[in-house]
Amino acid sequence: MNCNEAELLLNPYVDGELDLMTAVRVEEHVTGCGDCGRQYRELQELRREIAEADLEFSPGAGLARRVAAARRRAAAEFQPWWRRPATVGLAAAAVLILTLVPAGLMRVMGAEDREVLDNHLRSLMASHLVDVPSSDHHTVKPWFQGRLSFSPNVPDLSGAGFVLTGGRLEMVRRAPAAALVYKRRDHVINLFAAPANGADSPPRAQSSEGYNLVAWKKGGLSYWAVSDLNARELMQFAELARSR
Amino acid sequence: MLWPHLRAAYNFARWLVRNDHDAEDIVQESFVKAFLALDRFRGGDARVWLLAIVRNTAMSMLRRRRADPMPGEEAPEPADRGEGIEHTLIAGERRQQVRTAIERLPGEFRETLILRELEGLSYKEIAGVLDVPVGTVMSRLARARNLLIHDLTAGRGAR
Repeated sequence: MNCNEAELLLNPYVDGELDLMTAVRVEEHVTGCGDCGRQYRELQELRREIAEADLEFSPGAGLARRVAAARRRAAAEFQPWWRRPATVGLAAAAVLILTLVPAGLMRVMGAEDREVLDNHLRSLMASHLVDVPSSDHHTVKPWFQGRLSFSPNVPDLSGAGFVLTGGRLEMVRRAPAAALVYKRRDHVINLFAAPANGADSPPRAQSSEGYNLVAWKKGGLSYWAVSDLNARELMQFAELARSR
Repeated sequence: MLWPHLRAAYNFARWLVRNDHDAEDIVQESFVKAFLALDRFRGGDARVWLLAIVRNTAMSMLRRRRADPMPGEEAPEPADRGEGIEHTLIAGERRQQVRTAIERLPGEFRETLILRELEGLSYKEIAGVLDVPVGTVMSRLARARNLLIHDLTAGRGAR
């Protein structure tokens, strides 16, 4: 791979958009080439700074209510009469859900989520956070080979300020599962992966006792990210991990 | 189905139009449009679909504004940067520099970068929101980041 090629692929490389073979070739080039190596580090540094800059705007408390009201009005105007009650009912349900969400009442934690949260707490109590301490996903991923019946995805999220610190084995539903340990500032994030049934599902967030949990399914695996990190950043972590 | 994406919709709108008031109007209009069109939504990623609606709504607002400019609705003056930064850059100041640098990016670069870095969308998803080919997403992202690196290095040099 020459510099022109590498330069073109550098952004998709840091964004995790390349297939494995191409990614390895970019990596080799970047390691051997001073100029491209510098560009790569600049990109990583920029991504870290953006992640740390707290750039996200949050909607004010009134917006959800305002949107729900506008929706109700529009529904009454545009929908045929036989659909109105249902639409209004839906809007009312949405308002109800939105009022309940901040109170953390939207979802009673399932047994599985509870188990994963317990695993997270246990990992913090014992001096046994990682079985394989490494910040290199190329070290952590192979470590699971032969220990699990599946190969967990070990995303490199250092560019976004989530630093891999290692991995360990866990039990979820009485079956061996992977736990990947990331850190954001002083917060530990456990990313659990276990075989799952059913279709892919988008991240859903919950919280319990000051801990946040985001769960999703992808490619036949269930994932849970658990941390005392704030819900927004944990969701960001989950979305990044899911997209890799 | 759409409510979980309220935050993403607001954040995206806010970065597109760069003020709270317009961003809220856009989110409201977009949600109403989306809810009314919900039966036309055929699977896929609801977030991508919603963000595309947000973008279209914002674009028509900006287009209306340009055709009928009213005072006080120009883009915010870019903040001075690189001048008078004599004292130590504390973290907050650096964060502000990063924010300002992104605000100063041309619109098509800014929206691509925000969808990637803040919303964590894949190139394919961004292509869906912006209705451009994936290759365009890739080159805009590279261009946006180069501009930022250049801008922020200059800012640092002025210390």
